Amino acid sequence: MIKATIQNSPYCTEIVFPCTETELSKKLGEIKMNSEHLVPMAMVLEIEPAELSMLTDCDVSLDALNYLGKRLDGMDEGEYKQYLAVLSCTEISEGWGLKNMINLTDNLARYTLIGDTDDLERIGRTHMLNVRGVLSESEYNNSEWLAEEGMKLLESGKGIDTEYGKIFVNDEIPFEEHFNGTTLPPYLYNGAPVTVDISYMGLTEMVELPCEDLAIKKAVCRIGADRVSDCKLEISTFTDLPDDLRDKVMAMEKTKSVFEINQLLKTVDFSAKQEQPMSIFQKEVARRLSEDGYNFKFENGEFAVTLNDGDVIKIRKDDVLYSSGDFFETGREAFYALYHLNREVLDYCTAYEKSAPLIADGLSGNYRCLAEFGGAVLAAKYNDEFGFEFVTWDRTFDGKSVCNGNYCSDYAAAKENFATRSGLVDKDKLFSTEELERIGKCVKFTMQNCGDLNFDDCECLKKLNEKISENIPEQQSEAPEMSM
Amino acid sequence: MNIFEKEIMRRVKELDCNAVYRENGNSVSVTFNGNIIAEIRGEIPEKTGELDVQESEIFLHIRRLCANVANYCTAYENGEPIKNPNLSDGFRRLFKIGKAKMAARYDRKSGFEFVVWGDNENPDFFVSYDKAREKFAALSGLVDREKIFDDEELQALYYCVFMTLEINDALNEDMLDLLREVKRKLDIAISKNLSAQRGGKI
Repeated sequence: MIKATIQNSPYCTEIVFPCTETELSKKLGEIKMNSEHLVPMAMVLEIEPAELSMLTDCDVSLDALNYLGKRLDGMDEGEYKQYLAVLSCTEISEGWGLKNMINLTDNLARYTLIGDTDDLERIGRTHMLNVRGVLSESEYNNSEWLAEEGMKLLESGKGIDTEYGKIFVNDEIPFEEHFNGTTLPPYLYNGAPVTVDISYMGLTEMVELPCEDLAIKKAVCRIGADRVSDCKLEISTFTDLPDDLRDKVMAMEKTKSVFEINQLLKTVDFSAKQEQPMSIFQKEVARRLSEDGYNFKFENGEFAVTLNDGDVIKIRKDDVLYSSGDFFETGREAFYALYHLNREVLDYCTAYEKSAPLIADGLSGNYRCLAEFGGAVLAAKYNDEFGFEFVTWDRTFDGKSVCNGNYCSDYAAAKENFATRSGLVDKDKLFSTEELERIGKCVKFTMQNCGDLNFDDCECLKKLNEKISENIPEQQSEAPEMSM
Repeated sequence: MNIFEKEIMRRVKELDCNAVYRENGNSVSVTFNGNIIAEIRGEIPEKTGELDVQESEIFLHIRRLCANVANYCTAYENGEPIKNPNLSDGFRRLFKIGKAKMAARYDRKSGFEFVVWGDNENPDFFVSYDKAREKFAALSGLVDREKIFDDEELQALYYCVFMTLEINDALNEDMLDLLREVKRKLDIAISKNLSAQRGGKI
């Protein structure tokens, strides 16, 4: 939370961030500013927390300050202390204006804060979690390794004392600029059911729907557009909306009727919807796990897959965590298989949820258009019982309908089929796994039996062999040599 | 003359052909070895009479080229100008699939320049539309980029398959058939690339 006294000379008022557009408008009215100003600026007279005092006596964007308030609000206690520790440290300076204060929220990995220097294992864990963002369960519990990393950090001698603890700058992680000073980076604050990426001339802002209309107008203004109808819209949905509402929401990309849809969404009660147990992604992961014969259960938004030896692998939306100590060979294979399953399902579910309905004369079924190029269409249809069906079609000559459907349930195969059908990739330049396996054996044979190859030829073939191996599933690439 | 006509006149030279614009007929006449073999109206080439084997083959290349050129010219003419700090001015957006984007700019003398980029990828620039499309397909996740082989790699693969067929006596009939099929496929892929580079002569 940020508490500030702002001035539009000679009027002053106190304001707390984050706040709603209505609250901000009211405060602007109090200091005699246009309450619907799309780019409100005011001078900061006083501000809390004191670590933000570099903003005192500066004219700042109140929307950017509000955004910073939301980012701070979204931090846990550790992140918040880490953030304040960096700003309080006089030895660290990234040019702390409001712009880089906002950028700091995305750059905390560059700075490790150690509150208590007595426990090396904890120091190592805090540091590695900060730098990497995530640790596998075996890493998380590897006391020896963590203590070693903790020791390394302390012995680097780079710690700077602050009132929050010692702060270490991780020079290998650059300070990146996500906020350019004008366009606010995407941040999900309200957990809204729908987000819209509004783009204009290479700049993009995200708004959460439903929201106050003024928030949309401001976003459009910040990317330099006059009207939302001049912008490109990309919709994402995070809740199972009723079909008719979903269609209207997705059609917004073309109709640009953001304000109407915003009003419509305000009338829907999402609290009941959010209690639905599983998203399409989760249903699809469950279906695929059953299909592949895994023993699993779904609890607290994550899957726990139990392997034959009793090891458990957990799957969350964008991560796979191995959760039973050491990484044995069988567990590793299962881990990678589940990792790929998870990535693939996430890939096509995300694509599906972001896609608009496929419009074609005479088409039955609710297909969505995942991609269209060169007269070819890649579409998908979802069904709770059977999962996804992917299909590639040709557009008819007049472009109004589709024909020559090629249906399959394998997403990778459908994508490849689309890539060749659309002309993006020449079909004669793509090889099946079986073909690649044969070619790989020929490359190995040539390396072993053609004595006239020079060093460069051998290196080239070695690289090709590695590239081919990447494309062949493990069990096939490691199969015994055939008598070639 | 529209952009398609200008571009097709420039690109038929890759097939060792010449082209003349017929203002009265709003068409482009394509000649090979001094003979007119195709008349392009709109975006569609038509044969101008009986063609010999080589001319027929060139005509097939012209037909493919027309479809190809029409594809990016149409997209370019309908494309919005883009502002991207990593790109110079003049680029227009052509296609977007997932996180991959393709844009192009046009110059009367040198023709089209294509650029492909993704959310976290630096832009890659291409003169060849085919190469740009391949990169675009890989970036959009349609095809694993490890599955796409460049010209040199295809030739090396062809060499390996060829040598194996030549000197490996231990291959059984099934294996021979499979490798011959792979060799044929590689041969076509390489020939298409070479024909584009050398002017259509396969």
